[in-house]
Amino acid sequence: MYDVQHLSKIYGKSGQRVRALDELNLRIAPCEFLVLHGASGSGKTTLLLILGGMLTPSSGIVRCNGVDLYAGLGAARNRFRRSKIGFIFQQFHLMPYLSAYDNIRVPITLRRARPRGQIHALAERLGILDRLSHRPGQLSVGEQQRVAMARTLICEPDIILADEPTGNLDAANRNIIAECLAEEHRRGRTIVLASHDERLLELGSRTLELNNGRITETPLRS
Amino acid sequence: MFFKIIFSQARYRWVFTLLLFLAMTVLVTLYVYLLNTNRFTNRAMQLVMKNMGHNMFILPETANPLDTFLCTEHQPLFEDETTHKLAEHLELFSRYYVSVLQQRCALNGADLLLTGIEPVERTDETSEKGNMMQPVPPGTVRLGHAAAKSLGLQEGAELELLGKSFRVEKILQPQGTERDYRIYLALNECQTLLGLEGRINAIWAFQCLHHGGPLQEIEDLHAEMLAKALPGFRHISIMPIARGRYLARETTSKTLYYVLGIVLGATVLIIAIAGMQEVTERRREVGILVAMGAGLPYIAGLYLVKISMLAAAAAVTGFLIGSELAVRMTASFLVTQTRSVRILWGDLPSVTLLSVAVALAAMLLPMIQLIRTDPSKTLVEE
Repeated sequence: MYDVQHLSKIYGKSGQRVRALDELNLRIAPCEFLVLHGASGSGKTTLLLILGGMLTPSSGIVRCNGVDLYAGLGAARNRFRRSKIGFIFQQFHLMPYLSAYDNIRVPITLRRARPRGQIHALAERLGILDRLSHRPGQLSVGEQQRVAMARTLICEPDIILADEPTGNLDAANRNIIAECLAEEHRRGRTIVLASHDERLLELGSRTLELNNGRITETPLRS
Repeated sequence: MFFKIIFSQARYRWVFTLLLFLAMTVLVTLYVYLLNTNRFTNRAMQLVMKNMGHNMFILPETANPLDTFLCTEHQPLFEDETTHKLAEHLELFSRYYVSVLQQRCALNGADLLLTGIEPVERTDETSEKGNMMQPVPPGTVRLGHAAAKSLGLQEGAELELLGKSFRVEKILQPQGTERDYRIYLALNECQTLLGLEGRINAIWAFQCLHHGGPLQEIEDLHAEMLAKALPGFRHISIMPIARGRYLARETTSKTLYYVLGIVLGATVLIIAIAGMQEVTERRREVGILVAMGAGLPYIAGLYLVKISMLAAAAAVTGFLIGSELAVRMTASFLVTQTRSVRILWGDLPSVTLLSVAVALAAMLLPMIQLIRTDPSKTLVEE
């Protein structure tokens, strides 16, 4: 699915340069559940954003299904994200003025498509059915993340890119999110999960450790 | 969903939305108020100037203007049809004409000016406004103040003129000019009395100033146009009146433009600052929309459609308030007889379009800021 070659990302200008990713090579197979493990600042988020077509690399090639993501225009990457990608972030980034239901609907309208998954069925699965009419400010942190999760899953993306999705959650909510990701993997989705939470490592079909922008260790699991 | 996002966001931040709406409403109100007041003031100024009398003579080139001023027997005569021909030339600046036949006469030992008049309107003039020189009804005369005094006549009294009796229709206010000594009557009756059927010796014209341009340029242009339209005739502007009209228009217009410039600047600044603030505050929202695959046109549309709708609503509200204020506050003191001070509904579409255009132009900087926003950064901010 993904073929990443010599990927580097440097932030800042001369004198204050930070090399977030350094000549990184990586292949991710379809239906794989890859867990990126590493300390804060190791480059996990940068890699996820680049894989999602959100952040232009300084050098290197990122191919998804044989297509070079950064060879085309921004509009092509927008289409790629709309049709293939579902992001989950540590900060849920829900729109505070929309109800949970409408937050979940947003990606559907961006695709100008009817929901393949049903909002209510998904909400029931994530335990937020009775909270659909509430705004994010009226939801608990765990419920907010579950709404964000539903928003990601509603269009049934081929690839889920999750950046510390359990970083702000208690154990119960963490388990719900983890189980949900595992279920999506079982359904055949490719998942790349970035986390420094040791308890999520066992979810992955493969785990890599990032350190200073490099895959520095032998994979913990493969 | 696009509009739901816009309306929900506007409602969620209702104080901000309300303040922006009120700011735009106040500014549109001020704009409409000033625009209307300027128009009404101009209209009133025209009437004040009109009350000072005609501001142009049109005479045969052969005429000595002094004969016309002094009303001597040497004034040349020409066909009264000339005025009607002149009124067909819509390119000329003058809007209202009066055919005049004038002759000195001695009555009760007083030297007076017998003046036959016939107002002639241009074909394109609206019936709403009409010629400001009213025709004298047949069988009546209108007396200048000094003429009435020397003849010892009141309104409604009878006056014997060259063997024919006339009723005094009206006595005019004192002018301090030769008009105080005039006896106005219908042109055809004057022509019959003097045995000069179909003949006149001057054309008076009102509202002869073009709307813009320096006075001398307007004068030269009018002379050129008149020479083409009516060969063998020339015009003499009564310069204090022409200058007064020109200065009045310049003063009101310039004041309006300067104030409107300030208003426009303030509007753009308020919208731009509000837009910048909104783009900054909603940058995470922009980030997540980009992450979900929304393009820049969609995201920019959220801002631009919202500000356009607010501007349109503010324009309508501001138009109503500004128009009503202009009517209520100026109608009481402005001298208008020919057209009442009222709400000019025809301006509503242009005011609305202008407001939306200004709002969109003011969003240029916020949109540049939006384009420069890096969505990937906003999504990983703690």
